Formats: sequence, structure tokens, C-alpha cells
Amino acid sequence: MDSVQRFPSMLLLAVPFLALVGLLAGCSPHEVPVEPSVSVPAPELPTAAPAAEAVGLRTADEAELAELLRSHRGKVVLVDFWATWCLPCVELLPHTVELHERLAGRGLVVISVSFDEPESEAEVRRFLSQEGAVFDNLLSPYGVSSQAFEAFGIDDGGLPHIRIYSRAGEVEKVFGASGGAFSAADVEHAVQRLLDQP
Amino acid sequence: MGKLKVVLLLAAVTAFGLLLRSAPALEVGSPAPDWSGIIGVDDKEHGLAEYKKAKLLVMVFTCNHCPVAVAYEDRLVQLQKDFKKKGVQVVAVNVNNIPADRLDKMQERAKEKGFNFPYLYDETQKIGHDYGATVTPHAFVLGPDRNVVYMGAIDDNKNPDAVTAHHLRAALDALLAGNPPPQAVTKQFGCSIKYE
Repeated sequence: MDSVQRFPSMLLLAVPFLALVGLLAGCSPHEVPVEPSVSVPAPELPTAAPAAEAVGLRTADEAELAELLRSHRGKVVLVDFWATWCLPCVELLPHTVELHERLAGRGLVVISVSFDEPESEAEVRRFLSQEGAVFDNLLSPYGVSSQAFEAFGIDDGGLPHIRIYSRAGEVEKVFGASGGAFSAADVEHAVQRLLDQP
Repeated sequence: MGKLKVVLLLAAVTAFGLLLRSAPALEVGSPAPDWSGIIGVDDKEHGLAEYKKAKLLVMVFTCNHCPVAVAYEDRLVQLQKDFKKKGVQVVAVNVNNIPADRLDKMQERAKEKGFNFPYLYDETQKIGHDYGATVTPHAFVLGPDRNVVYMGAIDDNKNPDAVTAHHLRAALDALLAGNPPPQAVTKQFGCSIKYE
């Protein structure tokens, strides 16, 4: 994971302090619920203090995404298809957030669409909050299935998948499984090019 | 005249170069790309020719770290178990190079999950490029003549309890009965393979 994680040093001090308080208050380790052993390893999400501002997340399908896109005609729209189970996606999302912070003023709109399973909703919300994803965040209703990828038009079936729409509402650039390796810098380059267009 | 010759030569070389670079995408009916010298979790090298006794060869591009691929491991073990006597051989291949996907981790996983099929590692990623594998998991079935007879998904849901279409099993059943698969090409889905 890159250094975009924000780990205020105060938090590092707070953790042992709170642990000490907890111990003194008589919390025994046995009161901590034991996590069920997970046979499916998940990428380790960065854990930091949640952002002061909780972010929005709603379950929405491809029709709602299309409507949202229509409402943003005139802006360059970046749709970031991701999931907490997709390690490169989790690494890329902070870059998407940062891009939005810098370029929203120039007409960039960002929409994230998570392909997480419904039972992961809390985790999705927590991660988005902590990354400060203050844009439209959608959660696909289809779980991790071929239906999810087909419904949202991801033909190669892979995440990460980034789709960038011009101000006229046309798909101008796609980054994904069938296009080969790409970096956050490649994504920014494509966004800048489209922002420069009338 | 000299300049024209140079231009024509350059054009010919470019065309030839382009031809070499863009190998046609695999289709059903294409001969399966050959492969050899690929190391397995048994620390031995393996090649396509080794499995010539198998009526149907099921090559599955998979890896250790992708939760979607991992969710299919038990299904692959069961599939190999169910189809072994009918002459079907599963071969799992990993072409991801992050530390979590390397051979030592593959050996741990194969042991932990009781893989009853070879689990091979191609760090050059060539076999992935040759087959056009895009995500993990991504399945290719090779027929007795080693032409591609099926490509795509194992089934349609990461959650085994939510599967509605057992694509790979249906394909194998049809092929073993001498029929083409009901769907010879299905949509694979999962984590993009990171090609370097």
C-alpha cells in the first residue's frame, strides 16, 4: 500500500493509552469477540481514524448509474469500479479521491461503484469514509457474479475498471483487464486531456 | 527508385512486426497454444504434452491472493474429483508475481486446500498472454485434439450457494457426451491479472 494512508501520530499515541484505560477498566481479553476463522483471505485495508465527514453509499443498479451520468452532462465523469476484495482497486481509490479533490473545480465528477457482496456493505462504507470519498458511491446489487459485470458493461470481467466520460457523455477512455497494466498517472493524464476539451 | 525501395522495405518490416506482436485472440476451435518447462508446486517442470492421456484438459488461470479465485478452489477440487474417471484433467496456472502469489505460497495453498491437480507457476506470464487470460479465475477447456472447446467462467457466482449456471460442468458433460457445450464461450469475472 502506498503512503496515501493518513496516520496522524496522535492516533498512534491514543491506541496504547486507550488500551491501558481498557485494561484498567477491567476489560478482559476474553470479552473480545473471537472472529470466525476466515478461509478466504481479504486484502488488508488500511485502518485509520474515520474521516470527520461520513460519506454516502447507496445500493444502485446500472439504470441508476446511467441516470446519474445523464445528470452530469457537461462535466467529465470518472467512474471507478472497485471492490474491497480487489487489492489493486483498494490501492487505486485514494488516488481517485485525490484526483477529485484537485480537479472537481475544473469540472471533474467522480462516481464509485463497488462490486462487493451485500454483507460487506459496512466494510465498504468504512473504507470510503476513511479515504474521504466525498462523491457519489454506489453499491452494485448483484454481488460478485457474472451478472454484475454484464449489467454494468464490463466485458472483460475484471476489476479494477475505470471508465471516463467526456463532457458530451461519451465513453472516451477505459482502463481495465483487457487494456493491460495502468497507473494512477495514466488515469490522470486521460482525465486532464478530457477536461481540456470544450 | 532508391527512396521507394526504402519506403517499401520499411512498410514490409512494419507490417511483419505488427503481425508478430498481435497474435490473434483465441477462439473456440483454435489450436491451444503449446507450453512447457513450467514449474509446479511439486517442484517439477510440466508441459502440455504431459497430459496427452486426458480426454479433456481444463486449464484454469488462478492465483492465491484474489478472493474470487480462492472462492473457487473447493469447487475445482470437487470438479476434478467428479470428472477424474471420465478422463478430465484440471491444471491450475498462476501468472501473478506479487509475493503472496509466488511458488512457496502456492505450495502452502495447494497443501492446505488439498489440490488434486497440478498448480503451476509461470513468472514470465507468457502462458497467460498466449491464452489471453484476463482475470482470475479464467477457464479454458482443450479437447482431445487440443483445440480450444470452451473458454470463460467456471460458473456465474463467487458465492457457491448463489450459482444459477454451472457453465464449466455443463460444458464438460456435453463434451463427454460428444456434443458441443451449450455455451462454448461465457463471461469470466474476477481480479484482473496484473501483466507487467
